[in-house]
Amino acid sequence: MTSANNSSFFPPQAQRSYANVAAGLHPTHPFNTLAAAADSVNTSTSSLPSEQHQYAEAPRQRERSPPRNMDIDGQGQSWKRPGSAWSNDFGGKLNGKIGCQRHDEHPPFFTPSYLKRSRHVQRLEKAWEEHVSELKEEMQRNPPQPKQPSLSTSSSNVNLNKMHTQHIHRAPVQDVIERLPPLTEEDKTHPLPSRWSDGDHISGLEVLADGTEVRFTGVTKTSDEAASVRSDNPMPKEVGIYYFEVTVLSRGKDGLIGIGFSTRKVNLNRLPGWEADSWAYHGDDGYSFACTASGKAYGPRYSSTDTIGCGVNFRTGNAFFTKNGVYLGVAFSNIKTDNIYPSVGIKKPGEHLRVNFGRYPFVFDIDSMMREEQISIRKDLDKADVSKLHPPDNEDVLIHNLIGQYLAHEGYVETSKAFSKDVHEQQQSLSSSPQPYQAPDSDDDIHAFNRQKIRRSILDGDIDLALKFVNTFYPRVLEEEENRDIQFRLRCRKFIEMMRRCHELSAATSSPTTVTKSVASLDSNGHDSNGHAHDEPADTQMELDDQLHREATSHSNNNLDPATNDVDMDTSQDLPPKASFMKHQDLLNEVYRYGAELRSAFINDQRPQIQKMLIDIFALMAYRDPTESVVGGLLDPSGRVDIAEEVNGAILVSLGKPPFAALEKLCAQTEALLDETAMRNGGPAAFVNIRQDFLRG
Amino acid sequence: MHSPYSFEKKVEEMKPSKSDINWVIMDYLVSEGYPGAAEKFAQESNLCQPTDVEGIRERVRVRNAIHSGRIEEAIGMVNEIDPEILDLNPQLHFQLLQLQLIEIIRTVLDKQSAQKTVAARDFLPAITFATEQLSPRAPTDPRYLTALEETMALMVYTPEKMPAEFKKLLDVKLREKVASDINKAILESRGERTEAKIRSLVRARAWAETQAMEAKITVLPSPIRLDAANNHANGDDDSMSS
Repeated sequence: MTSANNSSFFPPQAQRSYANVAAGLHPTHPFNTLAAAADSVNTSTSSLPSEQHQYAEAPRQRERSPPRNMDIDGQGQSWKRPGSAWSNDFGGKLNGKIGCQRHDEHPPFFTPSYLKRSRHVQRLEKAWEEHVSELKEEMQRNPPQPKQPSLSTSSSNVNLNKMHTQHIHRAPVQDVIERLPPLTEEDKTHPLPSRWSDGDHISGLEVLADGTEVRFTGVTKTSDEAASVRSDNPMPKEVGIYYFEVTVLSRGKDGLIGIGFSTRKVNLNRLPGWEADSWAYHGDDGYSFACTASGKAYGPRYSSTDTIGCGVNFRTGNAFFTKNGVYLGVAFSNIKTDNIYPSVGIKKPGEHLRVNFGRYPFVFDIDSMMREEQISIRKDLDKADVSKLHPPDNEDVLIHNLIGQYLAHEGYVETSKAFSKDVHEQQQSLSSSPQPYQAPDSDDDIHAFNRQKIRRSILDGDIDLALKFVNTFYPRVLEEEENRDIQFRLRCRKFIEMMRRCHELSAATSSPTTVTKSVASLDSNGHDSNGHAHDEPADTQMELDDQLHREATSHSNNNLDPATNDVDMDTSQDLPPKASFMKHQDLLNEVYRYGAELRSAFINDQRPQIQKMLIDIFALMAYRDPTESVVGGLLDPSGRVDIAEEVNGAILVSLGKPPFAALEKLCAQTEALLDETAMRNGGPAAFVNIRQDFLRG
Repeated sequence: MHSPYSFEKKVEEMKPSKSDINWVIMDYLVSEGYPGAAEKFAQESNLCQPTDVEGIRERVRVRNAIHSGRIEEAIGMVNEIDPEILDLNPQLHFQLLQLQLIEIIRTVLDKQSAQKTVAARDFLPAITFATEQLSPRAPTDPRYLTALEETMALMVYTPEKMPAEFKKLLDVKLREKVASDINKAILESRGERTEAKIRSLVRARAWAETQAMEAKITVLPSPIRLDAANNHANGDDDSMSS
């Protein structure tokens, strides 16, 4: 362990980041009751109405001892999760039972700024998060034993109680990771370099500060003897361009420093660049060395306080360096070697370097270089010939076909008709003898109409109606084992919609002037109320209602609670404030009842995503104005879209249809192709991100 | 090495979200001018109503006018939308005028094939239009000159003997092209994106396949299938849905 005395070497950003951690601290509390869950959310928001604190506050420990190894872990935001998620699940069980001695070997995930759009890095992050939640699951099933000698040895034992308050939001996870088999070098996920390797360096070179610094401590006997180190992981080709920076903290006496990259075959007792399969830029003479001891004049010399950047473009095979943010030009070309590792070498006492693998902002504007690369590749991409994709379609026809097929496949009945008509008009305008539009024979798929109705009711927030439709038209679909999650989310959505109504009603009660408006808007639930949901012929509607009525009475359906239905139906009436208040209480009671039902139905499903969803939706009840709370996003009507599409997809599968429309498949194929290609050669495919480049404005 | 099975599995894992696809669809309907479908789609998918349905219809009217050869009317409409559009795009303006000249000539040619004969003075309106509207612009750009000469040459040939490079001027595809360019120019004048994202998306699929082949990746995806339930798009022949 090298962590005891290196605080003076923390990069300035790292010291700042302690504040982030401190700000994100959460008190411990047992994860037993709803109140506790809600309470934890409360503590993470800044302003709350005072009556929110009616929930009993658990005793809290607020001591904050000085940080230990906080620098690296400090970037709490890279988790992109509310801090409460961590403490909820573990706080009670684990705090104080596990030490944190070895955190620094497993810093959390980070994304270098220039790789924000990289598909590869986005996927790494996702995989990391999934990995972590698997670990959490594992932890819940097998809580660690209180007395584990290996984990409670050092002197920090005494300080454990103080320390865990800082680490609470991540400590358990970090600790478990250590006990899993480490990621092997051949790891197919191809993670980014994150630190200097503890193992892959030579004696005489000391790795400090969580693997971000190296210092020369040995003695060199011969003139070409040196001490080098490599990163934990090689540069993944899939990112297209890889870049890192090294700051010279101290040049020592002679500034004999080499910065570059090498493969694992290369001997570490020499400076990188001198050996085969190693390339570097040296500080004492400014020369570049490509696999040979005789260098070429390349750039200026560098020494203390200089920041040297090193980048490899896998598309072009070129490598370049930067000094203090200035581009120095291509140093090496035609680099085709696989698995190259960032590497530095030093050879004189006092030489001391700090690396930035992208956890902190870079000095050089690598983001712009990346952007330019992406732009030029996009230009190339836009010249692609699509005529072979679906002969004989040209681009226009293919797109028409893809859209038409998507609309039909997904059951957008009205859009499909309107599109057909619009296209017809467009075509006819070109013709010398226009034909009037004739709607195609109505061999309309009954299932398309059914699916349309189900989607409409979900999008309108009427989950009960949607459940009725589903159970009428496709009674088995939601009971299927593989659709259990969909059923779960649909029922959560129902809970959320009930909370929405509650909130709307209470808003209406507290400010009478807005009664009419708020209550009226309940009907449409945030959707334009142009009545399209009801514009079907009356006899069909009546028939359906009859059918539904029979269904609802004959079916003993656990999703349909008569009392709740009554409440739902009445909310659209205009009520005087007093009555609204009563209504609100009734409604709130219903919400509690339904919540309890939902909870007991899924209490045995220990998967973290299920439990987290339950905690989040129940937390809505804790707020006077839940829309302003951290979980307020749940109330947004936009959340209906995803669940509506999931239900639609499940029904399609049950009808024996492919769950994919051609357009979706085309997207997925493109992504898979780009993936394969980028993994193979790190070429242009690495620079394209389907979702960000083509699926967003 | 990946087996085809694992590639197909990978494809399944890459499935985009429906809301992303819906966004792409709406983007297309709005920017390429399918107002009826855009309105219905907003209702059916809970996307926001396109902010400016009338704006879409406006562009559709211009497009339809150009498609059906009513070029003068189209120019009028574009100038009504924003008189700067054609001023800022002189080449586009020239193309519209060229199209207008072609339409004047076309009527004469049609008459010619009907009556098997044509008087030289029938071409007089075309010549007047060319000298008044197009020839003053021709010196400003060599491309204009070429285009003008080619167009005037239409009057020399009888329809049966016309060489292919001149015949293409009479093809309605030219109208489609100009209509599409005008659509983009109008979008640009409103500060909107000029091309629907789905076009790049489809090209990306073709491009990715080329890239994969260049990288000697042996497993390629199954071809695009557009089975059933597809009666759209200019009465396409059935061969493409197989």
